[in-house]
Amino acid sequence: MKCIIVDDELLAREVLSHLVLKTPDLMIDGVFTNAIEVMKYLNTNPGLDVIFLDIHMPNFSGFDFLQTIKNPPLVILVTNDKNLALEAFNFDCIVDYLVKPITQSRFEKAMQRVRQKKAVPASQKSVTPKIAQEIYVNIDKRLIKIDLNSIDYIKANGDYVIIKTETQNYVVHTTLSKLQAKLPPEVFVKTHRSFIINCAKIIDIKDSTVLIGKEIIPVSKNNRINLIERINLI
Amino acid sequence: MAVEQPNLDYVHRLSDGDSLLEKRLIAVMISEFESDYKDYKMAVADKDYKKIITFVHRLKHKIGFLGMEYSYQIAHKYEEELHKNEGRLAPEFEHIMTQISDFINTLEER
Repeated sequence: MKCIIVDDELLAREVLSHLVLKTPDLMIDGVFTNAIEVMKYLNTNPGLDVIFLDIHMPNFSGFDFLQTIKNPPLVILVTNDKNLALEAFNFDCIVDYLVKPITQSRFEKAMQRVRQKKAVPASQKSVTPKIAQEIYVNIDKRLIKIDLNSIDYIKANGDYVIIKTETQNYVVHTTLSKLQAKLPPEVFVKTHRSFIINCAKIIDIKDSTVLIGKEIIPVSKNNRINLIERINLI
Repeated sequence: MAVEQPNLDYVHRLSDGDSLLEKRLIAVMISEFESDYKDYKMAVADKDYKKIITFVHRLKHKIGFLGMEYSYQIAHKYEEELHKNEGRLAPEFEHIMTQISDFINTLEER
């Protein structure tokens, strides 16, 4: 199993690295001092099994990080605080909660929990659905097929949404959130309460806008982090 | 306050006879303790509560690392006080820091 360690304290990183190295079925793929670095790492490193994650880190805490990432690997929280356990288990990905200083026996117990989670038979795991390539929309009692790759962006307009493709605009009676639920989240991102964009069509990104074709689309502060997560940032 | 001395029981158990690992962990602990304690004192002088909380939190780990369970509880209560902009346990925390500093001096003399 591949793991990473995220902690701003060197002493904690050293202790955890030692405990991981003593565990035959576990290997370290990265050691980080803050969660922002981990977000960049996760964009380019799929297949991670476990994150050892400190909660109290300056600027961006472990909980902030967990609220931000989609489909996280299994997480073992590492903390100086015994009182955050209840909050910790609000996150499905968290398998255990280790209080510093971490002992060998407590670490092994946490790893047992990870192995149990990993050993769930494939039949019980949810099957990854095939990513949709098209969407059907109801316009004037006709179901019209739209190739998802052709969509530039989608704009909310009262009780309707406007789907802007390379060749034409479709006006559909629905809401942006209903439509978003039908779109692959890997490709389509809400950048603003009135806009969903196709990430593949982005030309450039500024602080509060993205350029798609010749259109400047707004990016709200709250949605900016979702957008940054989707792009292949170097 | 209960009589409690800093000790290396935890690091002895963890290193399981690996003296190189033991030396490295102790060296890291000393270096981080000294840096965190210095930053803590600066934050106290500046009355910067946010920074004080950060460094008390980091120092708690070193207190636990040195097997001082009772002192760990004091530090934890002090941290909780600081979240309410109080700091009545500051003298007790300072006493713990002095104990650890003295202990580190004995380690460095070895």
